[in-house]
Amino acid sequence: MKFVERDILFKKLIAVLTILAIASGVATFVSLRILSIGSRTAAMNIVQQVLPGEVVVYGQGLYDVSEDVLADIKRLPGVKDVTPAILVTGYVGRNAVFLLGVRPEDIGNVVSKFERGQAFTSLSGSYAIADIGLAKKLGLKVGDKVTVKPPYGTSFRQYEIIGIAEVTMKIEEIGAAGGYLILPLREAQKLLGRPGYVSMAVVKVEDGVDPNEVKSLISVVFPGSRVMLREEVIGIVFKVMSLIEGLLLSTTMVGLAVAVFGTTSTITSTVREHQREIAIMRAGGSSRRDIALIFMLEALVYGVAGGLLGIVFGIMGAQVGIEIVASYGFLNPPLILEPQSLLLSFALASILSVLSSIYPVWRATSIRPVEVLKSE
Amino acid sequence: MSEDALVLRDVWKIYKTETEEIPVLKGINLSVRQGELAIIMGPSGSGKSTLLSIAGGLENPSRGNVIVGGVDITNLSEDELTKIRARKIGFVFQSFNLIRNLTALENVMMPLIFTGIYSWKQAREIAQKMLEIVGLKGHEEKFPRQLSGGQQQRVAIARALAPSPDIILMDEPTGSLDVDSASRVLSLVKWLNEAFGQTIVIVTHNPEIAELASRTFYIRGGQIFEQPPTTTLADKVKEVKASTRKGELEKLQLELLKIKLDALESAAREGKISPEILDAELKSLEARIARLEKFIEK
Repeated sequence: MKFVERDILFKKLIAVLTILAIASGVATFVSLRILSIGSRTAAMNIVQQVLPGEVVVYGQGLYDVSEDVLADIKRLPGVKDVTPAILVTGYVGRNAVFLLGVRPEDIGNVVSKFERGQAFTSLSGSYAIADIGLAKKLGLKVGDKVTVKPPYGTSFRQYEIIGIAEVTMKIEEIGAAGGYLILPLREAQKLLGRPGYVSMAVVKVEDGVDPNEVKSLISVVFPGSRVMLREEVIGIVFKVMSLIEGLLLSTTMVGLAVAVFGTTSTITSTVREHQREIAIMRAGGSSRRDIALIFMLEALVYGVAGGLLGIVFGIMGAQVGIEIVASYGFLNPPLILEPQSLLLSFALASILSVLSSIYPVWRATSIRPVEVLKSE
Repeated sequence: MSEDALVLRDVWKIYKTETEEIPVLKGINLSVRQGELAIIMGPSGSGKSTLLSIAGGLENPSRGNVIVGGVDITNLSEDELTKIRARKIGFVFQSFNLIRNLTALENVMMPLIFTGIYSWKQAREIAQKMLEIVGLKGHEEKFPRQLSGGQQQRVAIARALAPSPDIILMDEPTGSLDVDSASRVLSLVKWLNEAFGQTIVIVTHNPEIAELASRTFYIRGGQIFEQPPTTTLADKVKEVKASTRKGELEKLQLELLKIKLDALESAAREGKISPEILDAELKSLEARIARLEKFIEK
């Protein structure tokens, strides 16, 4: 151990660089993992908040689910409630926004808190609630009037801002829109020129009823509709996230490969540097195992130090990542430190470091003392 | 039990290249009794270091047997040889070969730990005593770079001595030391041999060391003798002279000088050599050619 300790102290710069190489690989892994867990949790929360039911019904087009159909669905056995909603892009001036049409009783599902003003209380009326981000961007205040255009046509309508709120369903980055404007359901239908139609309906099933049965029933009764379980929606979100995570994982792999090559290179140079000393130890009676242990121990020290440092850097990196993601307004991932992930990254750093020392260790144990000592 | 600490029986070492076989040791027979201080003398390339490597189990002989402390180590596996080296053989090298990352004390502790029979506490205790014996008390925590050459060699001797080996093999132990340090190290070696009865084999080309020996061996051309070689260097020169016909070498030399003269003249024509240097070279060459021509005429 003293040999290893002093060897590391003697070649400070190389040792620090090796530890940093390992730490960077581990940090990438840890930060991406934390970000991934946080994002999944946040995405799941959003879907669960936004979809206050187990089954979601879409039409073939953008907003062609008839409210009559919804009334029929509500009468189906096992269905407790049906929540209709409209979600389309529109314009406030030249700014693209998401237009969300909901019933007054469903506002709680899409708004987490009101910063100013209040919610509307009726299905119709020229009132709107602006998302905090949008209000900031357009300088909107409670009492201001905004002119809103639908995604097509030249018609427009004017609404009075009665509340500024934090919207939980933030997907404006995906839609390239600048924020949310929540309208009473009837007003949204009027604006789109589709009275009696919504873009989706969320079905809540009775307690003890299997949502799959309700899904099958809706599909049979209304064959033109797209019916999905909330878990399936979450599954789709997760699939997209997995794809992104896969791409990020390849970055982590590159980082880990750099760490492995760095450790191999450092231990190889250590072996070359101590060739004579290895020969002396072998001549003095040390076994191949003793020699292997010295260099594996050195690799392990790098791995442990790099692993611990990487975890710290990774958590710091994840915090920065979370702030960046949150600043986009899409998700607000929580910082979740999963012990298994941290242990995995530490174990990965330690094991990979030891494994990366196998080649130099093999070279060290293959040194024939007589060949080295004869060269004096 | 045998009284011999080291026995070599008809030991051959032949190195093979792609085209030829080079015999370095040719049937060495040697026995060093317990408590002896044996010196093996020989010039460079005589095979003395190879002999030491084979005696120490660092290298296998091509033929023959090596017996250390009563154990025939000739056909032992690498692992078994490692154990034998740890317990029965100590090495001292010309360039000290201390582990630079370890202190003097740790360097001496190292072979004790490798034997696998001593605890750290015991190894530490023995190492401290060994350093005291070689006169390095108070230097225990110093690293090799903080010690003089003589002190480093004394640490190396303490290291070799620590596991109480059957034999200590020393390869030119004073080769890297100044005269003063060398004499101190040699006195220590002699004292260790007399006071501890430690068997020591030294290979060297330094005839002064031979004065310390209980027995001296001479190695020449891969063979070992107990008597100094009868042929001297002057005899060898005479032998070479006799093997060539009179004037033959001088004629050859004359031809070589004439080629050099032609080359110099052509280089001067091409302006490759400055006139001053050319002039000096030509004068020197002409003088040598004239001398040789006179010699051949005689």
